[in-house]
Parts: sequence; structure tokens; C-alpha cells
Amino acid sequence: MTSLTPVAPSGIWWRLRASAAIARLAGRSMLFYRTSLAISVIVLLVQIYALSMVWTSVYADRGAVPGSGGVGDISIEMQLAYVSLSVVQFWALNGWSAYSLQQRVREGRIGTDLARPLGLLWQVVMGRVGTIAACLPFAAAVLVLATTVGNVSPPAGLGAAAGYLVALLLATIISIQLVVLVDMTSFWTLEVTGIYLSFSLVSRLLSGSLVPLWFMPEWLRVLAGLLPFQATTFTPVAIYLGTLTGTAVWRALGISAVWVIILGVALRLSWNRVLNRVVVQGG
Amino acid sequence: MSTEPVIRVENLRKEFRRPKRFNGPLGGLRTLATRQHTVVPAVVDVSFDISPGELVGYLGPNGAGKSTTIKMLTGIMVPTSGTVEVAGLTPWRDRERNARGIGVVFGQRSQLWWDLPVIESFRLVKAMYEIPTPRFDTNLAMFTELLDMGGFMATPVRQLSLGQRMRADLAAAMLYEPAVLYLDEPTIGLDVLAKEAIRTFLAELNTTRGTTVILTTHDMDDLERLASRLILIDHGSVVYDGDLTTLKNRYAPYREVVVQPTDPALAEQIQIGGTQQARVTDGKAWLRFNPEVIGVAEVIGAVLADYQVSDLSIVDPDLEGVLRQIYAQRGNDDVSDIS
Repeated sequence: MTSLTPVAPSGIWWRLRASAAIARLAGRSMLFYRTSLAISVIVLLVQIYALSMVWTSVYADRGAVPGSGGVGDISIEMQLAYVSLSVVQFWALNGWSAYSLQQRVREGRIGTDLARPLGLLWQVVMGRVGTIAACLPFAAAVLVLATTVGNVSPPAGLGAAAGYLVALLLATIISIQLVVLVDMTSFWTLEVTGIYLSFSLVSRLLSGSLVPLWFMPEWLRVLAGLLPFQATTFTPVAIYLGTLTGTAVWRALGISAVWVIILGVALRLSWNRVLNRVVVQGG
Repeated sequence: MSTEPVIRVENLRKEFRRPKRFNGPLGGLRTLATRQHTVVPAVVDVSFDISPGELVGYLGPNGAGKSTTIKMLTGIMVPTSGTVEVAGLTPWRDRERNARGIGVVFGQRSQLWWDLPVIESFRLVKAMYEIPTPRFDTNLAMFTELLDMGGFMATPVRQLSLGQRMRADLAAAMLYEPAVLYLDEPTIGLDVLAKEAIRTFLAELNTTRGTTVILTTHDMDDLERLASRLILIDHGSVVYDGDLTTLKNRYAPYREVVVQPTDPALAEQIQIGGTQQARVTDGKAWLRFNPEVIGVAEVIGAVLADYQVSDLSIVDPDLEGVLRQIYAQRGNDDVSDIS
């Protein structure tokens, strides 16, 4: 009989495969709620349409309006494209997921989840990745529709496209970090609906998904520019549209990257506290 | 097979700190504001060794510290003091590695993905524990057969009956062939058939694979049927560690013979030397005796010689009765050590 001592996990490939398996199941679970996804798509289209009407009426017969923060004039076309892109992106990155930490705590699954060879925090993060991945095709479909009615045009240039992809990656990471941080409060409060609603309101405003940062009053624009929320929506979309160019792009990407690090550390620290509470205090 | 214990538990202790509660006016407010804590020991001092291939029943009344012990053994809780070694590892220090060698089933909780077909959760287990495809296929085929899961492999977990879900949970915990399996109330709320399927499965794994099983349960049939050894804890300490027969002999040294006389009215009058009439109901008399003082054959002979009997049977003490007696005893003379 061989030794009973379990072997150590065999490196990075195992971790990637296990992570991908979790993401895949989380994604498939989302597709189980097809009706709810279909309804979201309709709501998104309505939202884009309504916001387009609002901005068209605000612009009246002006072709462009000066934006603040050194972005120059914002044409009506650009503003409508911003609205479509930001609404869709915000939806895809902040969607509700069936296997949130909160859900696991409430169902008491976290006992078995903790007894897995993969850390629970990582399992939760991978669950978010799967959820977002499941939303992507729907988001793309909405954007295609928005493009056909002329709301969205291709990226401003090759550089803008590349910048956009980098910014979108950072946006995805920051969104996951923020949602998991909020989710984590469920260990203390056992209930996060209220907190989640407040978070959702604040992040919707400060991310620029309601109003772009260039139409915010100066103090709010500066404040929002320093917070992580804008990195999830405003930065990538503004790069895509070419309103942020040159050093402004690097600055925005730099701020996003710094936030990825800060939130990563915050997540790790609060997770240790949570784990300590569960593991030492017995939940 | 090696004789080194696979699980070694020494002087394990777990205390919980609870905010001190106040009664009386504003008691609730004072409870909220206080920084004072009461220390409640859930596990006081538990030690035992378990050899590979043992099937151990870990039992005790509600709140005795069973689940807390299991949580420390699985590595999801850190003890206040004491040591645990599972297959050479300290579970909470080497959590991820330990996790590969153990299976965990909490009867009231499922590890399966609620919205998805059962097979999807199994595939996740395959990826998570790096099960090579041929071995996964063999095990899955074998478990499907043993646990009769063929009919619901493609059914979303949310639509399964409790019995089906439990079988699937058990399979998920064993697909990667862990050396140790922890089961917390695996048969709770199940019907007779489902219970039987699970017991057969556990017995099979234990014999053919030599899986070490630790089982907490309130179902005495589980234990009578499966456990080769019982560890009984109460108020956080081990009160008995040994086999079932010894336990029964120690705590219930008597046997009973139930006699049904032809004339039910005569039941009360049945008296046999060396036995004691324990009770009389429905025209039957229960005669209690110590088998070391008087043999069963002797008692039956005496009954048949003196009375007209229409039916007669021998009753062994059941585990439930034995446990009831032990808990009742502890409750009377050991109240002081909980406070």
C-alpha cells in the first residue's frame, strides 16, 4: 500500500484547469436563467434608446458641446456612442451571479467549499469570471444592434483599440474585486441586499455609466477620476472613442493599475479576517 | 496494510468566545455594547487514534462537540489547543494538500451545483482533484451502478429528491478516492431504501478500498450496521471508545425475555427466580436478567415449565437505549463542567 499522505497539487496547469472548470460551471449556471438574461437584453436596449432620446434633446440643435477635463468638444455622435457602450459594459461586468459568496454563506455551502484544494476566495473570483463570460455574447448582441442603428462606430484607431483592450481587462479585474469585496460583508451582516443596492447606486454614478465624467462638475470629475469606479466604465469607453489620447491614456491606465493593486491587497486583508472569523470563531 | 494510525488526535480543545449576555432592563443594549466575553468550550479534551480502514461512529447528543471536531479534522477550523494529524498533515496548516486526501459530506448541505445536471458537478470534481480520465470513468461507472444514479445523471440538482441528492453528494466526495471520508449525518431525513443504498455503498468502499470512514449520526441503525468502533463524546470529552458489544455489555449488562402467556390476564403473575419483571403491557411480561448470573436457556426453561406460553422472544439491548442511559447518567452527575 502506498503512502496515505496526499500529493501536493501539481503546479500551475492544475490550478488553471480547475479554475476554468469553476468558471465554466458558473457560466453555465447563468445560462440556466435564460429568461432573465433575455429580459436584461431588452431592458438594455430600452435603456440605450431612452438615454439617446434624452441626450439628443439636451444637445438640441448643437452639434457638439465642450466637455471638461481637456477632452475638447463632445459631438452628439460621440455622446450617443458613449451611452451605448457604457451601459452595456456596466451591465456585463456587474451582473448578478448565482454562485456569489453571499449565496454560499446563506446556503451553508462554504463548509465544503473550504474543504476544497483550491482556495475559496479564488473559487469565488473564478465564479465571477464565468458569470461575466456568460454575459459577453449577450452584451455583444446588444452592441451589434446599437451599431446597426448607428449609435456605435468602430474604435477611434488601432491605438485606441489596443488601449481599450488593456483598459477593459483592468476594468474586469476591478469590477470583480469590488463585487467580491461587497459580497464579503455578508460574513458580518449575513445579508447584503441593502449594501449591494447602495454600492450599485454609487458605482453607477461614479463609474460614469449614467453621465460621462466630462459632463460632471469639476470637483466631482476630479473625485471620480481618482476612484476605482471610473476605471470599470469611463476609462475603457473614453479610450475606445478616442476622447482620451496620448498621455491621458497612460495616466488613466496607470490609475486603473494602481487600483488593481490596492483592491487586491484590500481583498486579501479582508479575506484573511473573514477566514479567521470562520476558521477560528466557527462562523 | 500499515498499522500506523491515519488520524491522530491529541488533547484537542476548541473554545468559542461569545459576547457576554445581560438580562434585565437595557440588557439587550448592554449585550451589544459589552466587550466582555464568555468562553464556551465546545471540545474540551479529545484524543484518539484511527487506523487505516476503520469505520468509526463518532457520536454524542446535540451540542456535544461532534461537528466541531469534524471541522477541525477537515481543516476548516483551527483548534484552541491540541494536535491533529491526518495522513501525516496538520489539516488547517496544510489545508489545500489535506483537502486532496479527504472526502467531506455534510448531510444537510450539498456540494453540488444547484442549477446544473449532476454530471457537471462530477466533472468539476474531476478537474479540481486531477482525476485521470480512465480512473474517473471507471469510478463514475461503478458509483452509478452502486448508488443507482443512472436515472438522474442529467437532471439538474434542484430537481432531485433528497435521497438522490445525498447519493450524488456521496459519489462526488469519493470520485477522487480519498483515503479518509468524513460524513456528518449522511442519512438524515432519508427513507429506508435510500438509507440502505448509502449504507451498502459505505460498507463496500470500506471493505474493497480500505477507505477510513468517520461517521457522525443520530441513526442507530447506521452504527449497528456499519461501525466497527464507536467513539462517544459528551460535553466535549470522550466518554467511550471501543466496540459496540463492549459498550452494550458495560452500560446495559442485562437481557430481556418477553413472555406472552396464553391467558393475557396472567402476564402480571409471571415470576422467575433470578429475573426481575421490568414491565407488563398488552398481556406480555418483560423479564430482565443478567446473563452472567442466569443463562438465557435457564430462564426460558423455567418459563416454559411453569406457564402456558403462546409466544416468547429474547431482546438484546439496542444502542439507542444504551445511549439514552449514558446521556441521562452524565446529565445527572456532570452538570458542573459545562458552565
